[in-house]
Amino acid sequence: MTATVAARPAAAPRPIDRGAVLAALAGFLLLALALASDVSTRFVALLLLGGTFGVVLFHAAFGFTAGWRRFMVERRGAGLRAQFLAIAIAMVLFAPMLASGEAFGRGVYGVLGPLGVSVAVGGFLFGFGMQLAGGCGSGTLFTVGGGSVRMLVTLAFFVFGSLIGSFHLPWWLELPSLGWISLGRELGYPSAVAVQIAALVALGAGSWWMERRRHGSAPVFGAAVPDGAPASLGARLLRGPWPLIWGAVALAALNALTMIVAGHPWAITSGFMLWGAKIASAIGVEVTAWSFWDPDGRGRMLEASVLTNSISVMNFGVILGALLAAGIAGRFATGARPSARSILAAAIGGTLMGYGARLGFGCNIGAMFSGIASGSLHGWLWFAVAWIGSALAIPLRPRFGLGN
Amino acid sequence: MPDPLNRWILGAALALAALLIAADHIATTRPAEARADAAAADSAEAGD
Repeated sequence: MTATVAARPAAAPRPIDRGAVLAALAGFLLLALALASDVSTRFVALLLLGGTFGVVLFHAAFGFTAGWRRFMVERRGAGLRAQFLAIAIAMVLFAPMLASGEAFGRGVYGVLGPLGVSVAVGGFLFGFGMQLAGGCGSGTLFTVGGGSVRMLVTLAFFVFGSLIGSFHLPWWLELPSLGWISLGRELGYPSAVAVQIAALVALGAGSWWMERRRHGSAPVFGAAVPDGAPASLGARLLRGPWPLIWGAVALAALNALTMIVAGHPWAITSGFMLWGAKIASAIGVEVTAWSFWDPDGRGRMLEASVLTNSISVMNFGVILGALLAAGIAGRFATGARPSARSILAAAIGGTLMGYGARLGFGCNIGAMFSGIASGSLHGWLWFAVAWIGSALAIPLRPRFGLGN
Repeated sequence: MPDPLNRWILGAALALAALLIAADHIATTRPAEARADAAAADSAEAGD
């Protein structure tokens, strides 16, 4: 296998965007002060972890959506294989923690979801929506931080779709399901890791073989030095762009750190659902009358500060981290004005992703990355149906003025 | 070609988000035992 491809020489570096850098630092500082004063230092750590996720996602341009599309349209699979690598590393790091149920004296648990109609429909809708929106859960956050107005629309509708999904979820959960299946519990964690790594290697090798057959060569994880990257390692680390493999390794390590600090793996979309429910409550919708938001259960989250919600705090960190990275790279808000048709696609895609994430028990991060790494079979079902949804949505993108 | 309007829209969105977070935090921050209650609900929810 070819490990690298030649990179184009670096262009002249863009000037640092001081406004974006200052805004990001101010955001981190204010949130950290509020968290340290009113919540806990552990939540300050989660904010910084989220920020590091944002930097990594932005600099490595680690998009699940584009990675899938490149493989489906061009048969270029480096992005896809980098995702498999990240899942495999995270799984190896998670396994001892999940097997013992604790990490450094603190209880931990993985992501689990049901293997049923709800996840099948939710994953499909999410996969369909993410290609119209142009980004998934993590992609939406880091591109908003990077200055995409279009993805701001996606995020707003993602929140809206999540709220509607929370209203309907109890009905969906009454449909047939095989229950919550953890391979770790069924097979034991060592065997679960071995089986899942074998599956990921098989998928990666298959994608490599298909790419090589189409193109004659297939760099396993893309360029070791991406196009336009500075020659010096320090400058590349600080200003990007990073090779995909850096992103994959860093995301897996950060996900394991999240499990240690938060007690659960990296997740994104239940934060959006909470934001939607809080906004709806603020404008007079009686959300606590919905069974999902039972006042004695999840409804209690509506009465607490959003800063006591670990996933929301990490999401804020991801946006600010991407803003910081974009500012340092001089690449904040460098896009053109989006067309009305592409805004429409962002709204449709965002709504479908939000609704799908609720039914699917997570997004590409919560269900696929963290779900499979936790050994939950629902992660594999989510991946399969989201792949089908993506394949069906990609041909529609040109109708919205989006390129493939 | 970058559109300068984008920066204004994003700046306004960031400012609005900061206001909403601050308003929510101020309106809901209560004594420590209530926060512990909320943290327990958060832990139960974090499954995805």
